[in-house]
Amino acid sequence: MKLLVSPAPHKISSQSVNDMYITISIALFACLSVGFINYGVNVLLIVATAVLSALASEILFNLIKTRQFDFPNLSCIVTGLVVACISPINMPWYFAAVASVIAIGSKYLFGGIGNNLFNPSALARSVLGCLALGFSFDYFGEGNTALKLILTGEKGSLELAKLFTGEVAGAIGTTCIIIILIAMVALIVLKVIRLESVAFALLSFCAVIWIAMGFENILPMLLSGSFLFVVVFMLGDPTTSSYSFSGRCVYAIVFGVIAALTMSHNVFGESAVFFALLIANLFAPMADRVFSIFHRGVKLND
Amino acid sequence: MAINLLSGVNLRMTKDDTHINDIIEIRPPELYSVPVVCTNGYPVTVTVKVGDKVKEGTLIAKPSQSKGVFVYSPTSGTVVSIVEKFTPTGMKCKHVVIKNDNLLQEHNFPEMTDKSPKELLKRLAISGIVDANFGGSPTYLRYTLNAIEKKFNLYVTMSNTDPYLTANECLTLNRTAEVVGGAKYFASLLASEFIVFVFTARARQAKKHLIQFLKKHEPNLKYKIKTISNNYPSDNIHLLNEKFKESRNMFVETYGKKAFVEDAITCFSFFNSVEYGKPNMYRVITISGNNIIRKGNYIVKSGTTFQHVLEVVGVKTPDKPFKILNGGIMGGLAEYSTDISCNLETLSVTFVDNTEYSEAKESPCINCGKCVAACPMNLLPNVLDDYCLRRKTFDAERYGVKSCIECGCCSYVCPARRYLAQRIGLVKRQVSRRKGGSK
Repeated sequence: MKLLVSPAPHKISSQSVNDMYITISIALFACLSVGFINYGVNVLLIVATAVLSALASEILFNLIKTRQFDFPNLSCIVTGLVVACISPINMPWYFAAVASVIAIGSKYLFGGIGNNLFNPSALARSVLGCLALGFSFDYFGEGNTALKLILTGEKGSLELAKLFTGEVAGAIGTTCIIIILIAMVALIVLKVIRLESVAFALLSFCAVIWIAMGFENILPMLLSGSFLFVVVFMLGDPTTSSYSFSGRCVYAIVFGVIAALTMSHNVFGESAVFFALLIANLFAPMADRVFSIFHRGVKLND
Repeated sequence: MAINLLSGVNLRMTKDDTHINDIIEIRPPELYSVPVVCTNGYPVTVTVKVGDKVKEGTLIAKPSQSKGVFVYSPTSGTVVSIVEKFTPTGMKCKHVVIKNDNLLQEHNFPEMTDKSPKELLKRLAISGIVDANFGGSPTYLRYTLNAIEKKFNLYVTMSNTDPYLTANECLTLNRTAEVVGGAKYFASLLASEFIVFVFTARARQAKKHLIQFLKKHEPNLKYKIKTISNNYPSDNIHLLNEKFKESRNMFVETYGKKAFVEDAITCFSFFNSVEYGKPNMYRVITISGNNIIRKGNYIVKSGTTFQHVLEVVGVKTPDKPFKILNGGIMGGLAEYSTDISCNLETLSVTFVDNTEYSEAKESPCINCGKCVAACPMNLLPNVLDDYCLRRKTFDAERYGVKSCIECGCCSYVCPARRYLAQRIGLVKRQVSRRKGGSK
């Protein structure tokens, strides 16, 4: 008879980190497939480049850091897919590769998985936006983007129904609102993203837009500028958001407010929401530190 | 700071139907090796010598100090030896080995004619009843003279949230009179206005049965029924103490406890001690798991080895590696040998094979905060884990590591499979040891 000895607990939940990444990847593939239908074959090239370069750079950076080969977890695939989703359609393929390398590199700059302060994809998008000399990151396929139309006062030519189906100019995976909404519900039900993050981000965003631009602009602004995509796929990134409930609420409100302010004042154009996310990322550790006073346990008298 | 009542984990495992059948007395083994100290560590003096004849219920060890526990012989027979062995919780202590002569001679307490609170307290003190949930400290310590007749309410837990533990529910269904009788004695100790019976939401059958019983047999008993969440570990004694506390100041002198929470098993033992004069040398425990043939709730006497339990219940796959857990699947301690004896703190014995337990490789923390949401004591397991790895015990103490009840919820939910509960338990012990505590 052979007895096994191990410390308790002897049962663990079925949801692993890779399960969470697989679920998000499926949702991202759904978004990208709509992008493929709307924008054509160039999408495939960008996706393949982004994902493969993310995978290669993950292996390479890990090799440099640990001096040994570890099979990477699926976080790099998710980073690659998000980078592809938020890329403009007319972007050259090598820009996607550079974005992925920046994203993964930014993660290892802070010490690897779980230690990065900024969302890798948002950081890559912002850095590339700043460095893309002579290349306009505000140009997305044919025609003007929804955000540009609203901000330039040409809201009349905007069809809300087309925003839902993604038949507008914009970043590859961020235009089809229906798919993003379905993904949002699925990810909340599957406990991959948190309801409070999504709810507080949406509420604070709507409140600020109402004050700044009026009630009639809430829905068009909500559906434009990649805002919903960022709320569903990037805001809930566990590493760069808060780990406590109160911290997550504050983090989401900060993001919603800054996103609304930057988007409504046309500060960074289409990149506004990504810059807002990076600023909110700075607040996440602060919020955790402040709210840690509520998590000091209950004094036991035994 | 308040406890997190919405926390815990839904284990999504169906309970076995072990609570339906009545309790079974386990077949007596040939040898009992009775541990004569409980995990609270207070020393006891062995009162028997090798070669002495003992009866079932003969005193074999008494406390050397005021806080110790009385230990009684579980069988009639001869003391063969007194040896040093490990208890199920890994403590080395003296064990009195008694050879069973199968004569079934009993030595009971005298019949109680006066059942006043003071007499009941005396009986509780000598009965040998211990708190399995408070590290084996004797139950009477909570019911000191400062506490009796102060009109504190009594809370009795009648079911558990652990997937395998059904002993309380089984006693509620099958030995209702004894459980209610024991609860009434505890209530009369405290002069309680109400007895509050606490059920988990899942235990509907037991709740219905108890209400019917009370209507029929105890129409004058003042009682309340409270239902708590099914989430593990909402039935934990520390959480219930915190949840049902009536006033912090009232309980300062009563051994630091905030409310009086007993379980059905303790009530059953106390009833037998008062009514039939039986000393407490047994405990009703659930023997279960997916690797066992005859699941059920058994009366297991102190000193019965796991080897004997294993022979009685039968293992499905003895040739394959498996785990013997002293406790449930979430908090149980895996035993390294079958030679270890059950004691009065054994809550359950669970036999699990590789289809039941989970193993996974640890990966870096992604800061998802699932452990924070699951922690019933409102701690930050991810931060405490980090402090443990960096050996910052002072910081861990500042973040309340001593409040950890080691329920294992953080390790259960962690998608990165971090060994959170294990490391937090380690740092908790380091903090206690630094302060010179006994735990």
